[in-house]
Amino acid sequence: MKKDTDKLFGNLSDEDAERIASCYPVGDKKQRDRIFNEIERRVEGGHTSEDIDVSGVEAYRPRIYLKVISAAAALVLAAGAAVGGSYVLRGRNNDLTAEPSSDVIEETEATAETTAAPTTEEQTTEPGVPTEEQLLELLNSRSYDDYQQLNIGYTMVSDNGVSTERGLAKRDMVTGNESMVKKWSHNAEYYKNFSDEDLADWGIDLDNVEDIYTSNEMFMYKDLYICVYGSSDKNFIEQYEVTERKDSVFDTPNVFASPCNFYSEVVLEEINTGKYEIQEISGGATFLGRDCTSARLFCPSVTEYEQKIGRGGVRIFDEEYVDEVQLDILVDNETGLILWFKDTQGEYTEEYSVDTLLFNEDAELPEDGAYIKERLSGCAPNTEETASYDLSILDETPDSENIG
Amino acid sequence: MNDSEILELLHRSPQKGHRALFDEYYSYVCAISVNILRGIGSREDIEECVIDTFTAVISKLDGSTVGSVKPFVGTVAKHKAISMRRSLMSRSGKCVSIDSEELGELRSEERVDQNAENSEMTRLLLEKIEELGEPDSAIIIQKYFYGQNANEIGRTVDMKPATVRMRCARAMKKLRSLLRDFY
Repeated sequence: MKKDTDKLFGNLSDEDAERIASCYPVGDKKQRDRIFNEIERRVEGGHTSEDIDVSGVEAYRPRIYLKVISAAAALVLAAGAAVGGSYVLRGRNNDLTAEPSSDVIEETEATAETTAAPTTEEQTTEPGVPTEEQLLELLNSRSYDDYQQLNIGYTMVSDNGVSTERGLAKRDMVTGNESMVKKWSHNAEYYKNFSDEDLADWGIDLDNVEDIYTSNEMFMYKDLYICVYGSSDKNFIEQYEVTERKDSVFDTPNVFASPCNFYSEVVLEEINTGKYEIQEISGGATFLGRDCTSARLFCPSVTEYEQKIGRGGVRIFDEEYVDEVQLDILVDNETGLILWFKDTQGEYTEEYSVDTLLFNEDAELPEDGAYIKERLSGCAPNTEETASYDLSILDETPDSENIG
Repeated sequence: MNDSEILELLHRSPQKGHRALFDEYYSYVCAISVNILRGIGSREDIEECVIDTFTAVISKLDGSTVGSVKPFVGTVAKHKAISMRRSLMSRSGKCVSIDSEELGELRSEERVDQNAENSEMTRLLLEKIEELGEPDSAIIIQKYFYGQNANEIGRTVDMKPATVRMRCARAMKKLRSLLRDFY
């Protein structure tokens, strides 16, 4: 790409340079003053750069644009060799290091499902570490629409391991159908503020919190949006809701691109709207067996950012703003997808990791009408309106039989 | 400020004249230096070249100088940049083939047909950059013609460096698409 831009911008004649200079002044006053002062110093000293080295006067040193480098973190990421337990898979909450631990990588590699992504138009195949611009281009080059079928599954651990959300989204671009399942669970820490009475009422046994969950199963099927609200509570009768798909946030196949569902999209939007400054980029990381680029980003002032975009602040405690946020990400070099990130806001952390990434023929199709009908049979409609909804569309020929 | 006024100021008050000369031609010298040092010089090298150009120009000009300053500034800038380019290439061990376009570019400035073609392409490029609208066009100009980084551009266009990077990436994508049929 460097060569490309050199070719594009490298043909200036003197007249062109003059024209550009007359329309676009370079730099701000501070920069101009700094350079002019150096010129004056040299003019007064009667020397040019050629004789500085031998003149014995103090040589001008151009500013060095240092970045905050955490070499250790970069090395750990590159090698995937961090030591320590996996709070993602084991629910520990005392590890505030930013890197995915080796356990995460190893266990995920062992269990996660991935396939090679088909070649897309833009790929970062250059060896070495991408520039900031290349990283942003890579992130923004992601295109969920490049794949006829796509599955992405993730785990989001928040509040230092207290709460976990697991999600799996499926899309079939041929039919336009999509589905997404989200399941929430918490560790014992989460329930400590509830009274014994409440816990007993809810049937929660603190020794078996791993089995307690609530869930949403969303089916974007033809013109319908159907959501089943589920729970591990045996006393809870699962309910479902039906609306026209066009009235939902999934009016077009956008289950992956919607920030409503994918935290990686939220993060990318924040990066693109200037929340973060990129501090460090490293190549050579692997995640899910895929080549990745890692980057550390830093938000110097959340308050300023939130005010700029017209939102409140990030409040960790009642009135306390956490004004400095660090974000570590792993970006898939082939697809531009964020496969992992860790958001550190003071003592609070959120960690997102993709654990399923399947393309085209390897991907599962979203659930068909017959499956959805069967799923609804054990549930109650959440309103009378839902109950009166015509669901005969679910009886129509399965999509798979209509294709080919 | 035109050249006569700059020369007059140099005569009356050299230091103010230096500043006027610098303000008038800083962007011009930057554009020439970046253009010649593109691909081989670092940002610091480019800055050094600009400083060196003005140091040389100011040393040569005085109150008795008459005529047009611009061609002189342009020539000094070009020579300083070419000299630095050669020096950097020799230091980095880069060799230029005797048949290469690069050697021709350094040796002769009289390639009329090539210059005309380049000029037309640059005119088109500038036109398309302007089509991007502000602040994107300013960001692209500052980055690719003046070699400014995101922090410096951010101060010029009143944006955060990360926003500049994002806008720049998107603007480049758009620019490539606008130029697809021409390059």
